[in-house]
Parts: sequence; C-alpha cells; structure tokens
Amino acid sequence: MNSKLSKFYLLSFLLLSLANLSLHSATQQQAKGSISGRVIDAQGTPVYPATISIEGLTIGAYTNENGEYKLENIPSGKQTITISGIGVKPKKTAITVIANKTTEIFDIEVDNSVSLSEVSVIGKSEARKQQEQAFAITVLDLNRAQVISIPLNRLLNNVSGVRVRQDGGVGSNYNFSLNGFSGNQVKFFLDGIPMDNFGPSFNLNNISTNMAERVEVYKGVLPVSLGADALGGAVNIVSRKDANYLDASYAIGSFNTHRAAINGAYTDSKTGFTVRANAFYNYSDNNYKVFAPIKDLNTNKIVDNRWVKRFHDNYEAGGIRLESGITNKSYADYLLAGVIVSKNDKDVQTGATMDAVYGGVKVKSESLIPSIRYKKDDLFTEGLSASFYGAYNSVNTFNIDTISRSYNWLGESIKDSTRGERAYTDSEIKNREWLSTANVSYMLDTHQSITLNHVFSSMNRKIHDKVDPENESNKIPQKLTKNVTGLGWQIKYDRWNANVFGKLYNTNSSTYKRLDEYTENARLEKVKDSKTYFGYGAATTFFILPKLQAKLSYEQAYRLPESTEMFGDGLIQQRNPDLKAESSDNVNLGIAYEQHLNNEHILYFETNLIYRNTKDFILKGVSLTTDPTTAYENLGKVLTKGIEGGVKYRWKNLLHAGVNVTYQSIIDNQQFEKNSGSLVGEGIFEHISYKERLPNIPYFFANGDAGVLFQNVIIKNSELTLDYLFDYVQKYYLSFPGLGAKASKKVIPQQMSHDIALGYTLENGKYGFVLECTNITNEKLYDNYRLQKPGRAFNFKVRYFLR
Amino acid sequence: MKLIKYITNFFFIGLISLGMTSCDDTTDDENTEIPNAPYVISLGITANGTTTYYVVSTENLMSDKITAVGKGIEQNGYHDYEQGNQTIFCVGGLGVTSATGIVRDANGFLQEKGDFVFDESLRAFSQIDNNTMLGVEIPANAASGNQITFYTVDINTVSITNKVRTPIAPIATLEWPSITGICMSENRVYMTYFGMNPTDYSTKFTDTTYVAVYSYPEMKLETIMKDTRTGPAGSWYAHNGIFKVESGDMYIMSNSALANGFSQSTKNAAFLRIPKGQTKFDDYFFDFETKSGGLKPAHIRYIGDGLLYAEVSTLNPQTTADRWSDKALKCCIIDLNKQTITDIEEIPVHNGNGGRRFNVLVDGGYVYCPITTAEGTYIYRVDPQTATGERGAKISTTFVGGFFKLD
Repeated sequence: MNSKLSKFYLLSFLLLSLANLSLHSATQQQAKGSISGRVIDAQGTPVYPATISIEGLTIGAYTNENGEYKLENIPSGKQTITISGIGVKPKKTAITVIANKTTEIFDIEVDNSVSLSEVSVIGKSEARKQQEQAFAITVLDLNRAQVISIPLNRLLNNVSGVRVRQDGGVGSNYNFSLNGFSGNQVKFFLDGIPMDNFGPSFNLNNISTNMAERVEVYKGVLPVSLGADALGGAVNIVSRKDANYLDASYAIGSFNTHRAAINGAYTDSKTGFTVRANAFYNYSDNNYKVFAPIKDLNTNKIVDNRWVKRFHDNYEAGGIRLESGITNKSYADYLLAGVIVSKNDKDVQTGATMDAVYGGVKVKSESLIPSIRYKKDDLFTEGLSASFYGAYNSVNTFNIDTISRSYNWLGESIKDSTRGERAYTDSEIKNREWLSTANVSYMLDTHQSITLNHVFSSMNRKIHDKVDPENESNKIPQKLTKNVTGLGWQIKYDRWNANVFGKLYNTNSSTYKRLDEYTENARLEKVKDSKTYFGYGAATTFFILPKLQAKLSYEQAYRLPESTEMFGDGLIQQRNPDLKAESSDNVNLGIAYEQHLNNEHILYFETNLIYRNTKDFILKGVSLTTDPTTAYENLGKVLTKGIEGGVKYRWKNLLHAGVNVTYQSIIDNQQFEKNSGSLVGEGIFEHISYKERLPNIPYFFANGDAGVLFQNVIIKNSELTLDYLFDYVQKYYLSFPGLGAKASKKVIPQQMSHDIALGYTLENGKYGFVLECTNITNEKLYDNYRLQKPGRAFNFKVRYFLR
Repeated sequence: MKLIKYITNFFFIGLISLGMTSCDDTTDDENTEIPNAPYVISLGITANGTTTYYVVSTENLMSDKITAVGKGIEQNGYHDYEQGNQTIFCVGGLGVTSATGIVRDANGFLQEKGDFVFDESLRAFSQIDNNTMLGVEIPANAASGNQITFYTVDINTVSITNKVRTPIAPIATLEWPSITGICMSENRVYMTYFGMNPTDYSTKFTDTTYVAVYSYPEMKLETIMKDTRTGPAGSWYAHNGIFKVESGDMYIMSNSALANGFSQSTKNAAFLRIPKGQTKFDDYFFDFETKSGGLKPAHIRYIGDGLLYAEVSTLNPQTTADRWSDKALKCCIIDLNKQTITDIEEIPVHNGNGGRRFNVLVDGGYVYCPITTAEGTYIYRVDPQTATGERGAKISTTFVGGFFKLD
C-alpha cells in the first residue's frame, strides 16, 4: 500500500475513534420519555414547518400542517427545546421529560412576523428538502407523475441539463448526459445502491415509474454517502417507502409493445418482518419505421432511401427482484436479503450506425444477483449510523452472430461467403462481480457530522466462444477491481450548509493487449495495471433570502473506466485496454428562487453555471467502417462551459408548466498530440480540431411540460389529467462543426417532438388509466450517430394501486 | 440586496446570450471556396482515433495557410485518392469499399459525382488509358477467396464498366500476394507484388522480383516475370512497385525495407527496367543501395526526363525495431539515367505516412510535396533540376490524403 493510501486510512480511523470517544462520555444509560405539542403564531395559526430540537442532543422533528410535533427517546429530566424555521424567530423553552411517558407540552407561540407572509404556509416535501442540500440537486417528485406510463428515463429528460440519448425503441441502449457529461460519467443509484449492480435487465428502461417515489438528480459534486466515482453527477432513484402496498400495471402500445409490472411490499408492524418484490415483463417488436438507405445486395450500391419497418429488433425482458428480512428492530432499521433473477433477449438490428443492417445477430443475458442490505441509525449510540450493501453479480451474456448472409433494410438477404454478419461468434461472456458499499456517519453535534464511505467492486470476466474455442484472447481472464473511499464533513445551519470531502480511488486491472501487430512477433500479452488517485472537493449552499438559494461546489474528481468500457461488449462496442481514468476540475454555481403568490401560485426558477476542465475525457467514438463499431477513447483535454436554466409554474395542484434550457460549449482543448505505435508515422502532431466543439454531442436543447388536473370528474374521488411534453434539440454535426463545407457534412437535424398524455384515476388513485401519444407530429428523431428513433406511437396503461 | 440583483442579472444575461450564440452556429452558407482554384488537396484530419477527410481547393501553394475551416467536401472513413483526367476518385480503403468522383461544377466549385461500390477494398487503382481507371481487388487470405477481381471504371461516367475475375493461384504459389502497383503498356497490364504471410505478416521470399503480366482487357495471365538481381517490387500498400516513363518503358523499384513492412531484406534496394510492351527485364540495373551507401528508398514519384522525386530512409541499417515505422526520411532527386542520388538539403528529415499513397504533385516543372514535422505540415516546392526546395504554404491537417491539380 502506498503512503498516500495509508495516511488517508489513518486519518479516517483517527477521526472515527475521536468521534466515538466524545460520544461515550456524553451518553449514559438513562430512562427516556417523549413529548408532543403544537407550535402556533401570534394569531393562533399553526406554524408549519418549524424545527423542534432538544438542545445539546441530536433529537429533532418538523411540525406537520397542524403545527404538531412529537419527539421520542428524550433522556428524562429537565431539557430545553429550541423552535426554529424559515422566517421564524428562534425560541427556547424549558420542559421536563418524564420517563416512559409522553408529556403534552402547551402550545408554543413563536414570532413569524419577520418573514414574508407566505413563508409560513409552505410545507417542504422531502423533495424540497433534498433540493436545499449543498449539492446541486434537482428532484423529480413522482407522487404526481406516477400514473403516467412514461418510463423513467424519458421522464428524466424534463430535468434541466439532462438529456437521455437512446439508440432506438424499447430495450435499446440509452445514454444519459448531464451538463456535458455523459455515459458513465453519470451514475445511477437505486436507494443509494449503484444500479450497475442489478445486472443488464434491471435498468432505467425497466424500472417502472410506479416503483419510485422520487428521483434525485445531482449535478456536479456528489454526497460522500453515494460514494461513486461519477464525475458529472448522479441520479438516485428513491423507491416507495409505503410499508404495505401493491401496485400492478400493464401497458400496451404501438409496435406490439407490452409492459407489465407488479410491485409490492408487506411489513408486519409487530414482528418487523417484511417482503418486497418487483417483477416486470417487457416485450416489443420495435418494428417502427425508419428512413433508411436501401442497398442492392448484388451490386452493393445504395439505390434508394426509403421508409422501411425495422425487421429484426424484438426485445423481451423479464425479471424479479425479491427482498425479505426484518425492519425496525433495535439492532437494525432494516436487514434485508434479496435476490434478482432476470433475463433478456434482444435482436440486434444495426451496427453503431444504420449503414450496417443485421438480420440474425442476437444478444441474450441472464443474471442472478443475491444481495444483502443493512442499515441502522443510532447504532450503539445516538447519531451514529451505519449501512452496508453487498452483492454477488453473476451475469452471463450471449452474443450470437453465426449466419452467413448479408441483409439490407428491406429485410432481403443473400448468401455470403463469410460466416457471421459482422464477426463470426457464438460466445458466452461470464461476468462475476463482488460488490459492496459501506457507509458510516456520525453526528458530532446538532450542526456537524462526518461520513466515511467505501465502495468496492471486483469484476472477473471469462469468455468462451463455441465457434472459435481455440481463440487465444478468450483464454485470458480479465479482471477489474476498484476501491473508492470517501471521507466527508458536513455542517448545517438554517441559512447555510457546507461540506468538505476527500476521495481516494484505486483501480487494478488485468487484461490482455496485442503487441507487435502485423509482424511475426504479433502476440497476446497479459497486462496488469494499478492506479491510485486522490480527489477532493467542497460544496456549500446559502439562503440569500428565505426563498433564494445559492449553491457553489468544486471538485477535483476522477472517473474510473468501467469494465465494459475496457473489455468491450464482445459485439459492437470494442475493447480498449489502454483506457485511462478521466480527471477534471469542476465548478458548479447555481441559484434557485421560489416565489409564492396568494398561496396559490408557485413560481420556481433555477439556473446553474458549469465549468469543467477535463483531462483524458472519456468519449464514445464511432468507427466508420463497413461494420461500424463504437469504442471508448480518451480525448486529451476538453473544456466544458455550460449554462442551464429552468422555470416552473404551478397553480394550486391544478395546473403546472415548466421549461428547461441547456447550452453547453464542450470544446476540444488539446493543441498538440503525440502519435506513437501507429501505422501512419509517429511523432508530435498539431491537433487540428483544437478549439472545435466536440462532434456528435447535443449542445443546445430544451424541454418543457404543461399539465392540467381536474378533480372529481363525473365520479367522486377521481382525477383527470392532461399532460403535454415537448423536447427540442438544436441540430448538431457528427464531425467537428468548424471543418468542411456545411453542405457536405453529416448532421443530426434540429428536432422537435411533442408528447401528450391523458390520464384518469378513480378512488383516489386506486385505479388509473393513461392514454398517451408520443411524437405526435411523427417527426424524424435521431440520436447517437443518426440512429433513428420511433415515430408517432400510442400507449395505453392500466394501473391498480392498493395501499 | 445589490448582490442579489447582480447575481440574478448575471444569470439572465447569460441565458439570453446563450440563445444568441446558439443562433450564430447555424449559419450555413459560409462557403469560402474560391471558384476554379486549380489545386485540390485532401486533408486527413485525425482526432480521437477517427480520421475525417476534407477535400479543399486552393489557388496558392506557396503562401498563406490551407485549412478546412468552413470549406472542403467532408468524407468519412479511410480514403485513398487517385486522379483520372479531370476527376479525382475517392476510394474508401481499409474496410470501406465505396467510391465517388470529385469534379468541378459549372461554377468552378468542387462537387461529388457518381457513387459506386467495390466488393472489397482495392489494392491498386490507376489510370490506364484516356477513359479508363483499372482497380485491383484481392482477398485478404485464402479463407476469404481465391480470385483476383479487376474492375474497369469509366472516368467520364464515374461508374464500373466491367468486372473480370481471374484465379490468384498462379501468383500465390509461394506465399499470399500483396499488390504494390499496376501499369499498362501495349495492351498489357503489369502488376507488381510481393509475398506476405496473411497471418504473421512475415516476408520469407525476398530474393526475387515478380511481375504478373495480364492481357488487357481480357485480364488473362500471360506470364510471370522474374528477376533475381534485386528483391520484390514495392512495399505494403505503398503503390510504389512500378512506374512508366515517357518512352513507354517501365521501371520497378525494390526496397525490401523493414521500415515499410518487410520482415527481412536479402537483396539490395534497386531499380530494374521493362522495355515498352515487353515481358522481359532488360539489363538495366541501378543498385540504389550501393550507390547511396546502404539506404533504401521508401516512396517515389516519377517527374520526367528520367528524374524521380523520392523519400529515402536515413536508417542505416534498418533493423526489426524499425519495422513498419516509415520514419526518418530525407528527400532526394534520383536520376535514373545517370544513376545518381542528390539530397534536397532544404527539406528536414521527417516521418512518413506509412502505407499510403505518396501524395506529391508534379506541376510546371516543380514537385510540390507536403512535409509534416512537429511544426505542422508545410508544402515544399522542389526544383528537380537543382535539387533544391523552398518552404511554402502551411496546411492545417494531420496528413495529406491526396494532392492534385484540375484544369
């Protein structure tokens, strides 16, 4: 272990033991009691929300809409409670807590005249509370959106700075970009657990909107507790907390698309026994029409461009995620053992571009993922929280390309002398990965806390190709191990909070390389690499006015290569064993403002400035050969400056509208390039694309939504909703935009699409129906090197929700 | 409060200005091409491992800067360029098999014309008469096929007019052939090649020169010419095996250079001559390696009057460590008649483009050649009579893919 590493561990150990020490002296075994009461203002109106806390302890609560609060587990005897809140003049009151009893406290009157009148009546949903963290975070509150059949990944398009890029229809690869970061620079989490852990079937495509309570989108700096090496930010999907519920939905749509999902949870309040299950099944023919070049198979010549149906793009996926264990025990908030079993089966219609058409290429995968998860707040002592997640991923992927035919977009084929449409293979890729995340945090006092987080993953890959069993490269097992340790300190006051953190990254890879290519010494050689990086950062947020918040964060961050980026997918994505970690300096400055009028109109305004200076930018490139492939490459230096902004308006619960606009200048900042080991000479060369905008990345885009809600339509306790979404992307070039005559350049044209959804719920949401039309105007939509997406499509969804 | 106002203003101005900058990017009609500019250069620009070509025209090779900023026909994928009369053929090499022609339109601007596809990638493509280009395609190894395909392409219509297949076997008796050049003389097509193992890329047969002679247009193999005074003609993908002079005689160049892909060299680098239309070498023998003190030419271009412009490797001797490196080249004028080699002192020693066409232009008694060093790529104008060079215009490119003149 190098000295940097050991120092870091020593420091964390010291901090933790220090925290433990102070804690032991402060807490003796003591009898405990509870208090309850109400906070009102001079007019007798309940004050909501206000914070009630016990001085010198870490016990606190918010008042509810009626101004009521309840505090439990307070050491008996004389205590002082403090009432505070936005626009509330802090007040202290002495109370006496009686052991094993709930003491009713008289109404406490506070002075809230200092605030704007509307402040006191605005409740903070959990979503809003998350927004106020020091991190630049946008929260998508799904309590409203739940009935909409839109999959999560498309819903995320409505967050400013966010673009979800998709290769095609249901089950196609998607790529998420956030403020100029894309792909694996942005990480996904489900309840704080990295979603990479769930295998290839359980991804954003398949997570039903029903299952999520809210989605937190972190832009820039991430909380230490998420503990990942994502540079650009993260998306954390928070699943429903309802103890007992059943949520079943089925949707049928264009292109023979079927989606069924059942989510449920049962918890026995007496024994704490709980079972949670999610199951899904998705199927689609994806036979939507595309405008494609038609090749004459005899002459190989492109004879025409025509609208044709995709003919080899079926997708089928199913899976179940089961978790069971105990909750709310003295030794565990939860202790759950789980398993994911899933399978998917996908036809591959095209290569990395639509120039390559396939008729027999398939990808299948099977996953079996047992896991365990544990969390306890106030473990051993108050204010100490611990959580752990561990899993073993066993994922087998099958790539099949065995037929000796070539296809064109009409679905016609002729016999081909070479076997395989792109590269003859019938291989099984066995990925075995150990994963764990551990998190310990301790509240030093009411304002300060420290968090220590460690994420470990170790992936082993073995490949066996049935039609090429002697393949030398498949005999070399590949391995990638990563350790990321983070230590952070947070301080939190009413008007501001801040955190400082350090992260230690370590990666060990073992793979193979081809050396001395094109000589008789050409050989495969096992290569090993080990790298350690140290990153750090800080974030702060400050309320300039009760409703005007500013956020500033900085991070010197690293993004480690993923196993699939280094080792490839065995099919269209090529391997790159030389892929390096991406490092960057990131600054994020944001401002958010909320204005309330007459307690009825809410106007929310948010804007962020982004500055990122990146080295070894990891970019997904497309190689334009007869069978186009993709590969991840390091691009020397890239400078990103961006601005994004959003406005949201809401009138009561009945009307809402919002727009987000993002502009990013992502510039190639490399002036000279060293070329070595290449067949086209070596030496230092001028990097001609210096100061050019990076190609094939959207840089100016906007989206918006508007909706109305009518209550009690025809039947009591029913709701009728009408939602509209639009999406705009400025045209962008597939090569450096400043080079070449514009008329000769390949371009993704300006795109504008509109979706509309009509929803109806009965019995307060127990039954739901949605009729949705996406891409109403049947616009040609493209993404990722002109891969065409579906045109106008209809979708009907039925949902049953039982609480 | 002032601060708040300042910050909000800042953000609003930012949002508005971003809307404006994005509009700037969309102006489409900023073509800066000068009509009827005589010189046409294909700029190969490599970034992030991907090469994109921009075919631009220019009036001036000796001053200013030649760039693809806002101009040039963009072409994706690897390309090779070859001129046939007033058409520049752009052929996708290394895996890409489509081809198109670039011609001048009525207004004097460059435009793409025609579009055709070869089955596999071409190993040779040259003009053989006033109307015709001849292309040669050969499978990469025995598993992928056993026929050579000859394509004739009509220069005026930019389309394939004929496709003839002939067995590879007679020229593949020792080793799989790699083609290095074609030439036409008196209804015969002369094709130079060397044997390279398609699996381990070794060249075990380097002590004989081979030239396959085919009848045209039937493309029947007439004979295989052999000579043991020097090694095989040409090197991998470099189109440097054979060339024709004014009299109709043809010369072959043999280098067996490790820096150009050979795994061994057993004979001196040399030139041999085939008299016009004949199927035998005459007794002309130019032992380049002896006369140059042990050097090997890498890339050559015939200028006229028995003079060759050449890039000659300064590595002496070339070792296995130099394999495929194509580096440390000096520029020379080679006189085939006097058998002399004169260095062009003004051009710095530089690295080559590896297996690509030698992109130089012979025009008005001068040779124009792009040279890439750490300073960038510059055109040098060479006077072959005095063997002197002068640095001219800078080209903003990673390398030059093609260099031509249109009338």
